[in-house]
Amino acid sequence: MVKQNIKTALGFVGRFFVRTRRIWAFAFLALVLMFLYMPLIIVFAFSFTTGEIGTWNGFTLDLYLTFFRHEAARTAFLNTFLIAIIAAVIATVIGTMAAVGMFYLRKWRKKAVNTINQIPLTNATVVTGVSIMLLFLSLRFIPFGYVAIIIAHTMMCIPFVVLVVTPRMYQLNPNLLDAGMDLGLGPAKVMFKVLLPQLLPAIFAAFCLAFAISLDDFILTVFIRGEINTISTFIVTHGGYLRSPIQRRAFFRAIASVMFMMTIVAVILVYWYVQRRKRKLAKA
Amino acid sequence: MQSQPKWRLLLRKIFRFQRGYFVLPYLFLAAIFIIVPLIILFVQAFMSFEGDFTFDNFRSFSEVGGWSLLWRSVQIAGLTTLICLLIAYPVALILSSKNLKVPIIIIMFFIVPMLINVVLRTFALREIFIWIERLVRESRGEIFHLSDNFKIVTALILDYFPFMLLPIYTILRTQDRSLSEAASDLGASKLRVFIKIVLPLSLSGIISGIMMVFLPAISNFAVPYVVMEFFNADYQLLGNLIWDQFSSRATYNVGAAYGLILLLLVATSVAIITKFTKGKAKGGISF
Repeated sequence: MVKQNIKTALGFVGRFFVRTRRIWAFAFLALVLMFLYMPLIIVFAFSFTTGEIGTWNGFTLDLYLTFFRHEAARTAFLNTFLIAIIAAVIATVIGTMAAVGMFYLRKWRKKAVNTINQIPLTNATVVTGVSIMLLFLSLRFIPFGYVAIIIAHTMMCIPFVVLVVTPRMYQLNPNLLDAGMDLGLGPAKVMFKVLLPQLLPAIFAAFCLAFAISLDDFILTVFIRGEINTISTFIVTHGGYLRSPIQRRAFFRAIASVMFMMTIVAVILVYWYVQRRKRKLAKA
Repeated sequence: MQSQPKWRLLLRKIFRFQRGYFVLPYLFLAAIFIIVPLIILFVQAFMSFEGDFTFDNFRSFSEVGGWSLLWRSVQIAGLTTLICLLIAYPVALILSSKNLKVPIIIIMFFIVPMLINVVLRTFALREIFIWIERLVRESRGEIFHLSDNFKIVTALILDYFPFMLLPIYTILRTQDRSLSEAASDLGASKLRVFIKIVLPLSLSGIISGIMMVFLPAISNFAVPYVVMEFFNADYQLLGNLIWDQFSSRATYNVGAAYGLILLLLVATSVAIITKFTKGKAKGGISF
């Protein structure tokens, strides 16, 4: 009788996973997580030693030093972040404006803008890369390089920004804007003082997403990069992999590990920050 | 306001700033950097190097073996999607279960690989493959190579797994538990509840996940490029074919034509899928 009550109380999935089965569930999760992270973890572990992966030549930071001294690698690393920040900022600004504007459009115009917004998302990145490259070849005053990459990354990120901000617009209370205008704010001021603060979490999330997408990109960059390298194009073009000796390419491990660790640290920081805010709100 | 003529009122209405106008900067940029490039792509695909109208670019697709390459891409992408789905669905079930309280940090860790550069992830996997091959070669004494297809499929699964997980998890998380409870109260076995209630309701998430994995997997060229150690000799997937037109040769028109083929392929698939899912409930990112 008691056992039956527990089962109904636990609900649907509870019927699958009673106490002992919790271990199986977590074991499965751990297995999948291990499979996902194993390559990066192994590369991280072996980034502290020279030589082939699998042979431990003693703990050393040589690979990291090689990375820091290698001028092309350093430049590529900085380029990646520079481009990502600029593209993310521009994309967030224009994308947020577009999401707000789209919200106030009439039905068919809203649909039209939405379709245009979906085009870069549904197109294969290769196709977008090819088409933008052809564009820059035709408009010869835009050179390949930083400008081209930033433009391309921005255009790639804006649809994601719109995708993140638009649902938030629907969650807002429309009366607040009218209330603001009733209380004396002009139509322009009311946007900044009422709408923007409410959108701020979505805007921040959109910025982070745009930043991550720009960091992540390879295919779009490789078409229009000219002489500039980002991390991904650097690793691909300086490959020639099996032909160069292990010493020359081993430091790629250091690059991968640095990026990996930065991402993990960023995620943990965000998680910690969110937890702190939750506790603060719970206390208040 | 009827004191003014009608056209004047209309002009005044257009020039008065309305909230919808915020969308204009984006439309302006989209016209230049999304619409125009596609037009150029379309035009260039039909032009030869000298500038005459021709279908030759498209004909060369069959000559180079494009169709068999396409079929191979579809097979590889299909296998990847299937395996991703089979693994992601149980994971999503566990993660979304309200009874096993899975901490948010674990959910975040499933998503994190999406944020790491795809080249870095694939590069790490390549190192593992090289290591495995070396180990086997040293123990057996003969040259050992993992099969190409195995490498590509594994790399694609590793790359796209979070993309399959996310829509399914989102749908399962917001699923109404009371329906399943009602079903089991009415006497359905656990398996039946799953097949008849949970699975159909999560179908839109599954389809969303499939679209986010299958279509990019067909056109991906970064992953095969890195995994196959940057060889140019053997086109693996469709994306590699397109890329090759631009990297080693300057046959831009041919590349444009191939790109157009890929574009039409993807657009048709999306259109077909959205037509089929029109009636079902929506969820996740609508493509």
